[in-house]
Amino acid sequence: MVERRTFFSVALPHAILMIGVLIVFFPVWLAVVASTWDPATIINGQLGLLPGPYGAENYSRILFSGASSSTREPVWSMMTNSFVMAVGVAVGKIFISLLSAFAIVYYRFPFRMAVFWFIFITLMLPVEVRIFPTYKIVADLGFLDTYQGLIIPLIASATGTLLFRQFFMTVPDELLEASKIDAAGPFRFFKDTLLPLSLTTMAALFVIQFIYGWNQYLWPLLITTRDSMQTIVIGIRKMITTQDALTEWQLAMATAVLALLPPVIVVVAMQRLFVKGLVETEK
Amino acid sequence: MAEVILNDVKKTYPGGFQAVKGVSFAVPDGGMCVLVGPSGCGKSTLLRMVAGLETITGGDVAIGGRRVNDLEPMERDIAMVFQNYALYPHMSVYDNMAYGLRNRKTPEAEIATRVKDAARILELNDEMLARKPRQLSGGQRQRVAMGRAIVRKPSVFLFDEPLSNLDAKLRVQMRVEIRKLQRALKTTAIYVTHDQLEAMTLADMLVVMNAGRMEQAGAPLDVYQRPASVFVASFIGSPPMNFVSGVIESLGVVKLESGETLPYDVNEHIAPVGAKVTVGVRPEIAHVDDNGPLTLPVELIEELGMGRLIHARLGARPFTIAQGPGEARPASASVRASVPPHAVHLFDAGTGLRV
Amino acid sequence: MEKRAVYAGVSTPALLLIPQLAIIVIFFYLPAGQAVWQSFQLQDAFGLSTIFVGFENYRDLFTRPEYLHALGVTVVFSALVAFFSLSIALLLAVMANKQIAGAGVYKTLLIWPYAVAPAIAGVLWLFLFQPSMGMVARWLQWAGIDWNPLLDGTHAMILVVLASTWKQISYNFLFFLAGLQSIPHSLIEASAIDGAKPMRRFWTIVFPLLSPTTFYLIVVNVVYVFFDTFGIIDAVTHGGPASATTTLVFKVYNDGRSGGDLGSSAAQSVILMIIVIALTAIQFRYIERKVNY
Repeated sequence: MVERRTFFSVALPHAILMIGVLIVFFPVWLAVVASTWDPATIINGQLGLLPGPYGAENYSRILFSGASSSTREPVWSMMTNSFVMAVGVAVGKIFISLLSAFAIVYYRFPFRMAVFWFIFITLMLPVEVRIFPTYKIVADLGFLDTYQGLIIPLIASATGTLLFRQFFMTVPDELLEASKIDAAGPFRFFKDTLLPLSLTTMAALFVIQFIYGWNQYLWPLLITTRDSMQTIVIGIRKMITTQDALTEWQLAMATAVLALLPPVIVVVAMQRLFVKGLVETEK
Repeated sequence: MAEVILNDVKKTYPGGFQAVKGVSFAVPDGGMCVLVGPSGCGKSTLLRMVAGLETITGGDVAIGGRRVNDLEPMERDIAMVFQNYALYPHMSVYDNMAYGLRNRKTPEAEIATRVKDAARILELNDEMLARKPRQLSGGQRQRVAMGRAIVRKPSVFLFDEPLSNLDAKLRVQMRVEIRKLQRALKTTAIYVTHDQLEAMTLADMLVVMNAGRMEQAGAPLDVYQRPASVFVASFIGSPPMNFVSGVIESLGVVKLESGETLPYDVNEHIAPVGAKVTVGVRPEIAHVDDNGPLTLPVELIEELGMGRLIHARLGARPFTIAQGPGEARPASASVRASVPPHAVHLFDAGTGLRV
Repeated sequence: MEKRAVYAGVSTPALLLIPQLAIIVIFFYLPAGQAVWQSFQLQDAFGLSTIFVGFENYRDLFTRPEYLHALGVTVVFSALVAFFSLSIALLLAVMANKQIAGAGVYKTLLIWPYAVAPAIAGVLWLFLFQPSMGMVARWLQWAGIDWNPLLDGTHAMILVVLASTWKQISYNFLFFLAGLQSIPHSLIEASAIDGAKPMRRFWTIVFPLLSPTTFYLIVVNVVYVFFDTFGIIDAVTHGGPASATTTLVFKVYNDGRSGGDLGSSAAQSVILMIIVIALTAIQFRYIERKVNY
């Protein structure tokens, strides 16, 4: 260790990191606090830094009956929608990319590289830049206000395929050769060897895609019109777009807390997989 | 049990690179054939063609009298041990060994018997059978890889440098075990290695390869004693053979570039007077002899314990003499040495082939 | 790099590829192609007929002050968010990379905002800075600042920059930390033996070695600001006041949703596509160079 261990060289990093952590936590803490108070305290600007007594009431109200002024949809059902969408996007992407990466890495067929590039290019364009034409196609297919409409267009990208391709390339050739000698055909090899070895990669991709799906905004905003199909991220936006004075901040903040909790729990609980997925899908 | 016959086997890659340029030999039933050569000589490619992991682009491979060119690996009745073992990392040792049998619909009871038998032969206990490969040492993994091959009771074993991931001591030990095992099972085997010592000790039949061609095939001692080319002579034997240029002066006498003459065995070599040759002398056969014809200035002496290496010069060429433990260390800056006529190897100076 | 051992056959890989290819053709290539095609067309006022007009829509866009304004807003916004989130993340990563107790805990405490949806992040910050009852807004007013992001464009911009930066720090922090950890310790020691003081060591050894990570992050951050911050802007300012926070993506959405000029809206989408492709291409070129040297 090159650094000399002075009080300063130990205390300064701790101080800076603690300030960083405080700033990162501050807005969320305040949301938690606000979600436990009544509207009057908030509107009068009397909100402090400590939670109040109205938490149970606020949360049970939004979870099961919905905020009255903007939307009557209970947050519970919004969360279900978000969950279905997030899991759908994650599972769908893992499914199609496992298959296509297996084909691209383990088969030799005409136009293989062309197919690879055809898929690869989709990495470049986020859904936002082709949003209206995609909307029209989804509308033509009758997918508006459906889960498949929410999920499938978001699966159309190469991230998963590239990730699995990258992983498959690191699997030693000899394992496939040993399988061939052990009388295992392509499907046996895929099922018995490749899938079990890919579990960590699949889990890492699942974490990233779950967060991506849960946090979608623009796409569900466009294609869901019925309240019953709303995701929670969209639901909260509706709660604060009404006239300022009418915004029920304590309910909006409770919803915000519920909206950020599931993906944050996923990240913290599966930190190792999350970091792996993030670093490997992006690089 | 089967004989393996290769007939003018060729491998040309799509880019036009010829990895194997027409190789023919036959491994008798129950024989152990070792393919040896420097890396890139085509020995692994040849083995993989026998296994069915590479397509054969020319010639034929027959196993047990059956042409297998177009058969899948699993239809060839072979088993293979890989350099990195290629054990399935997520399966237990037992499952690794059982996998090939299960895929062939062998009854579980039969699988259990076979795996237990193999484990007993390889000294793998029950507790090891339950472990995952990564929980085993290198030597144990090696045994599992062998076990996976023998439970199948194939007609041919294929070994692709199976010992090169082990440390030197374990390598010698496993070498002996492989040899004993193969003898006991009497299964035909083809073994690839770049280690000439491993090749010498394991082989019933040695095939020396270089640049996609077979340089020589034969019993290990024959290859050692009568190398067919400069390449084989230099590759087989350690420390490697000494080479100097020379000209046939008269029948039975070769004149070296350094001016000395050496007698050679006329029953071994047929060369016209005046022919330019490369003269090869094994370090362990040349010996210090105060009346010898060769004068060698000594540059360095390495003590090996079991003997010593005298690094000297013969004219402009390096020349090494290996001494046994009982011989006296030369004291002078220059030694004289002699070589028995039967140990003087002559090769054509142009083609490098034995004359 | 290619696999040595592979399978032959055409129908099996074709079957395996069908789901992915079908989805990207229908939901990627078709809409992207349509956007390009429409961008060269002009639709009459009733949407009854369209004519091919070449680059007319593009020329028209670049003469429209509000489009140029949105472009300017996007550039300023990207630059601010990239600068602040990168600097803060680098500072925190350097501190967390020191061998101090609890470094792993700090890491966990700093990375979770990645999981917060941009729109939610926007709402959280809006709540702090809401002029009538927001806690920070009250502090500012108490300090004599007439804080009102609903009326003042600069204030609105500050607010969305804050929310966007807050959310992006965790991502940058993770990559910087990974980058720092990959720098061999022997290099730092060598420079210490060469007599470099800690600050000098950072700027002459660590920072240059970190440059591939930094460059990569700059590109990713710009892309992030271009697209992912849509949620923040829509939830916090709706692009206002007076278009002060209308970015290019927000404008595409707003123009497209209000109906009207399909060709112009398509042209805006195409320009965005070109920007992303250009950014990605730069990034790949750079990564390739890094790999080669």
